[in-house]
Amino acid sequence: MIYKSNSKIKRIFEKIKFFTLKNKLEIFLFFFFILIFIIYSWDTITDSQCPFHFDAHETWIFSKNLIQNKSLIYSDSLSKLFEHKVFYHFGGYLSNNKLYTIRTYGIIFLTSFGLLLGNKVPYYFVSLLGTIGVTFFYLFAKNIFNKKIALISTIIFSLSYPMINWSNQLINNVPAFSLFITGLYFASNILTNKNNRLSNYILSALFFALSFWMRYEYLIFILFLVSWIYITRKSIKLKYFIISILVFILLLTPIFFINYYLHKSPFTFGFIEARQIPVKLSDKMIKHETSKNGVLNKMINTFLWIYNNFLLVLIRFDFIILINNLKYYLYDIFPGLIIFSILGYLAIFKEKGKNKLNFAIFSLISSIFWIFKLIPRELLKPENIKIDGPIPRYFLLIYCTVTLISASFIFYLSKKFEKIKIIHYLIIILLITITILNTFSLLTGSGGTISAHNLKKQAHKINLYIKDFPDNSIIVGDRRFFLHGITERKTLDLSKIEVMEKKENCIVATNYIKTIINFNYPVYIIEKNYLNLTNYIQENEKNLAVKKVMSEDYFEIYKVFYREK
Amino acid sequence: MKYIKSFIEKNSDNIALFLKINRLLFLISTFVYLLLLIINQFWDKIFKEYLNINAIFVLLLISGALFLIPITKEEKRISQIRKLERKDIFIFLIMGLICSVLVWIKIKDFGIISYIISIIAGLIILVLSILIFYDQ
Repeated sequence: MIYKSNSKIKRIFEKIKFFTLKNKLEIFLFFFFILIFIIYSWDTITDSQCPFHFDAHETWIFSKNLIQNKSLIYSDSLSKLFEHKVFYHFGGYLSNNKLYTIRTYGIIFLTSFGLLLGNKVPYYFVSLLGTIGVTFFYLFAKNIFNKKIALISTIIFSLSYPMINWSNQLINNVPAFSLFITGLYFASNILTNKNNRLSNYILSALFFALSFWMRYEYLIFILFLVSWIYITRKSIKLKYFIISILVFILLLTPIFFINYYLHKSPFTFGFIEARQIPVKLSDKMIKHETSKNGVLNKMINTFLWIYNNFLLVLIRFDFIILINNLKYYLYDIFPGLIIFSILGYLAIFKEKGKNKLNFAIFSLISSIFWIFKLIPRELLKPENIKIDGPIPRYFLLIYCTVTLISASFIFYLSKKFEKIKIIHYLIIILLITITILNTFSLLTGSGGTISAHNLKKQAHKINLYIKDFPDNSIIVGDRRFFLHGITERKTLDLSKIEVMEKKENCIVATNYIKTIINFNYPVYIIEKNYLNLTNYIQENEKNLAVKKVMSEDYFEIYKVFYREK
Repeated sequence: MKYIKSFIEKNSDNIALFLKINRLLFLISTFVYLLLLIINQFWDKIFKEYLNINAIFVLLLISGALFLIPITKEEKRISQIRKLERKDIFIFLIMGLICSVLVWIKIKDFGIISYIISIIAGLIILVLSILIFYDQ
């Protein structure tokens, strides 16, 4: 009996061993993607999450507003009482005391859906989409190159600081990239002739459309696929292709309806409206009007904006600015890799492998266009560069192609010098270099992810404290000091009072506070801001009094109230 | 084109020698460039005062491009399946350890998380090395 059971256990162990050895790569990847999800949601897991970023705060406010008021237009009744827009201290396009979002509808709907399930869920959605993106990046790279190249590039790219930093924020860049790369994977199944089913056509159209919902510039990258589609046209079924285009257009139509509802023109987005006032780029742009031709003029404005932002930048670019800024945004972020990506392109063009070549052409066109579009705006200096600055998050697609092409070159080297042992060590040194540089850029520096994490943790703590305040409380503070992290109560931004003289500024702020108290709103000041408002009230106001209700190392909260007569 | 072809045919020995030297130069410059990048993270003053890393970058780029140009015909190689030996694992382990230590030196102020990140960095080097060089 014992002998029988022993042999059964042995057999089970052998089966497990066989399964593990057979699927070791898949098992490794499974645990690796779990690790990636944990890293991407580190701020959320460690209770250090809040919409601290300017854009994230706007997304949060509009998403809450969508749930509470079922509207994409935000308006605050108190705002009408004041000259300065102290309640509108986040992004948006202001018209007739109503705020229209300049974020994409995709991120607002995603956040709103998440908020219905819980306050932390939108952040988990972004982290999850980041992990899904990395998974499909692996599958896509495997389709075009091979398992090894896919693995190297996935590990390097998924652990790169732009991905880790922006997956921990409520910002649409990572979700848009992930949806695009997922769509690209399904498209690559067709373009490499591996799987020509209708499902691949529909899924690629679906994910491409969703990436457009998240970030509008992804439409350009979808259009850049035309050259790849043209080269591999023989492997494409025309009927399925037309169906996928129809699905794509159908999925995009709600955006144009929402645009028409909000901005009275299907092609006018919030960010275009926001950027047209005042007219900066071209005197041809037409100012807002309510005439019969309003809709037509808005459409003309949109196309002029696209011309100014996309074509004119390319025509008027400055080579010195381009080279200087490339150093900061491409070379400095992947210093060990960039050289190998250049050589990788040369190796692919030399080898002329069909799928690799098509991908290289697509990635090269996309990268060059996007680099020329984004980088040559102004000459950057070292002091202008922040590690979590804005550009790296727009460059995710370029970074992923850089890592993929570099990994292919590493593999090319290892194959070419198979017998030379020293090349193995050279490649390991390269991997060590990449790991070290990436870890340092992620963790150290003034704008590094760790410092952002600490700031968010402090803001999260403030949110926990102010949860106990009455529901209609208003927190007065400064957006340069924690105000953007506060989500639990309404906030008033003192930096919106655009009066240069500090005393004058305090007088205006105090008058605003008095008005709010008169309407029976409890008012709290979060101090250590640049105005030192509480001191001013204590020294100069006979009617008002302040009382410290809370203090920590990095902030103090005071309640403001009328003195009893 | 004819002139270029005849020039290459006439000087094939010299070109082959040049390409061999270039290959060596490419390997050395890659090694030096990567090492300098790591050193730069710890002692960046060296570069400001004595060395310009961009010069090595340009050298690496040129030698790399020449290394890839198909001037002479290459022999087709049949790749063999590489098997993992204990000696290799030991070397990869040491490389991973070096990476862990270097990462830890720079981020030791972060407390307990510095140990976790250093260990993960070392493990990544170990796993990637095995996966790149061995087929089984």
